Amino acid sequence: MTTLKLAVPSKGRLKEQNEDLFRRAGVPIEPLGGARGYLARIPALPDIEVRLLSASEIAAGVIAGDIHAGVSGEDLLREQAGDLERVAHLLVPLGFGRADLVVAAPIGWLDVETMADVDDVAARMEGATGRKLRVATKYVRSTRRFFTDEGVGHYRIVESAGATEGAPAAGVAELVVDITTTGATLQANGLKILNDGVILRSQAQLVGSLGAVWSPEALLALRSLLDAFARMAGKANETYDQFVQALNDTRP
Amino acid sequence: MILTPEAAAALARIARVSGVKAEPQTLVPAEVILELSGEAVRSRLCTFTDASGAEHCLRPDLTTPIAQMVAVGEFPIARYHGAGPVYRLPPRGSDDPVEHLQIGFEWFGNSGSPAEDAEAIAVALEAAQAGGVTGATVRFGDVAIYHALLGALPLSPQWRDRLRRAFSRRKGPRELLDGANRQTAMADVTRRFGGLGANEATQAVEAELIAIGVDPVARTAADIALRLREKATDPAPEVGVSMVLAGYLDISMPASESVAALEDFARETGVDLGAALEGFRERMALIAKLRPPFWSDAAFSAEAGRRFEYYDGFVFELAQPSEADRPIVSGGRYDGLITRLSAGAVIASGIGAAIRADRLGRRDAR
Repeated sequence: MTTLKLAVPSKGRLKEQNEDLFRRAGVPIEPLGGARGYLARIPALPDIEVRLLSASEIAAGVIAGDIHAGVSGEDLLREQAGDLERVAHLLVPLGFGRADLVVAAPIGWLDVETMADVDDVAARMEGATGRKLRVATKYVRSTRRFFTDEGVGHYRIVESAGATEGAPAAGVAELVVDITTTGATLQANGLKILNDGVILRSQAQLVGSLGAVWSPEALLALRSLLDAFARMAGKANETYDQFVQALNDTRP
Repeated sequence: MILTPEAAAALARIARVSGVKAEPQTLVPAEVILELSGEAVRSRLCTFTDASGAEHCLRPDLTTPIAQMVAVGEFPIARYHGAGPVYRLPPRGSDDPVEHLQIGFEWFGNSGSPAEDAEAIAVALEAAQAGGVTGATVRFGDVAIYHALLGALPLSPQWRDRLRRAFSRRKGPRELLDGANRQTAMADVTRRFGGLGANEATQAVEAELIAIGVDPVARTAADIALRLREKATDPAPEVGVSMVLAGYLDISMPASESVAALEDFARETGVDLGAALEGFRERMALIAKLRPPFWSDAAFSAEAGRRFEYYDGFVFELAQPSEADRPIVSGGRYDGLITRLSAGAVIASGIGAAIRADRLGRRDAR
């Protein structure tokens, strides 16, 4: 019987890089039930049930406590959780899936370099036209939190479904908040990253759920998994104790 | 709608002097609320999207839908009172209900006055008392004095605007001033274009945009050039000015000493607070004459009203001392509200107060 539910990316580069990492840690993931299966196992850790899900589903599952642990992007985790530290604990930064969540403005706005400039321009725009500056993004909560922290008002979020970076050219927004690795796509769309516009430097994380039901057996399985990652890094496994501490802190 | 005896008593006190009962719609376009309060409040709003993509919002208070009716000319400029459910998503970790009953009044007129301020707070506090509240304390302030202070201090127009906007934000005036001294070196582009005359700067920006092959997205070259010129000559507030502002925001004291404290502040800093201080003095004398309940322990705070975007004058809250962030009554003056909602088409002064019916009653009964 398996006791720990672990979710890992089911497709693309993330899947490959994650499986490669688990192999290097000495805990390779093997698919179960044929090529189209959504279940897998780790022969070295038989108490772990591995599910293959999208990074977004993994973030949601960890936050809801439906799964004990998962591999997902920090950007997705923070966006979906609101206050991540209350519901989940980042265990191991995995070094792949790197992307920055950034605020980008039109290159033609020569006078805009900082978030403070954005607030000045937004206030002026609203004063002149009665309309607020529009910010296109899929990262609604992260945007709202960052803009509040940076003291920017006078803006409206336009939720984008597809290619966010095209929003200014399409005339549906002036600013963009999106993930980028090199900034090249933004630049190709006539956008520049603001000097203080990096919201988050994200990468894939092994994350533990604080809301899941943790049996002693599930904790033991997590400890073994973390031991494998610690061995690979040539360090002692301190992460496990920190997680148990976080778990105790959230229990009433 | 069935009111508790406490809520009915509070409403009766308000209704005596608050004109007709307004029954505004429950559902308002999300646009109206967002244009007024901004994205920062959106996480507290109950919004949903219809098939056409239009966003609707359950009213978060009674003020906005009543003000909206006045702004579009549906209701005349007059006094209104109301009672009805309003909807706000509780902050994380709070067990507040999403829906609660609000009782309140909105008085629109041709011009506000200290006498109207005094009458409004007296009515609001008497209503709370009629609703069974005991042991609560009043905290009040005056946003107009902050605005007068900004007007009197030697600040660049841009900094005056920034500090004005910052008052209602989490990153407030203090944080803004702290950051002002850590400003980085002037960017190349500001140095290149900022020193030019208006026409030359606009032409230079136009040429630059063509050279890089981009357009000014929703703005004009003239606007960009104007801001570059402003940035080139936009000195951060001097340390002395920052200290005066911080000193003002620190002012917090019993109501009975507040007039003298503000007069001392004006004298010591050499700042002329003009009509704003005069209005404050007159209002305090008039409130003292009305002797409303809870007023003898009232405290002035220069930072009162920071949580609200549209108050622009007298502001007040009544709360239990142990629950200062859960006000029973909150109210204030919002002379700019109708102008903003109507994009300048209707001009009206306004003052109002809202009472949370679920926080009425004796404290030990809850």
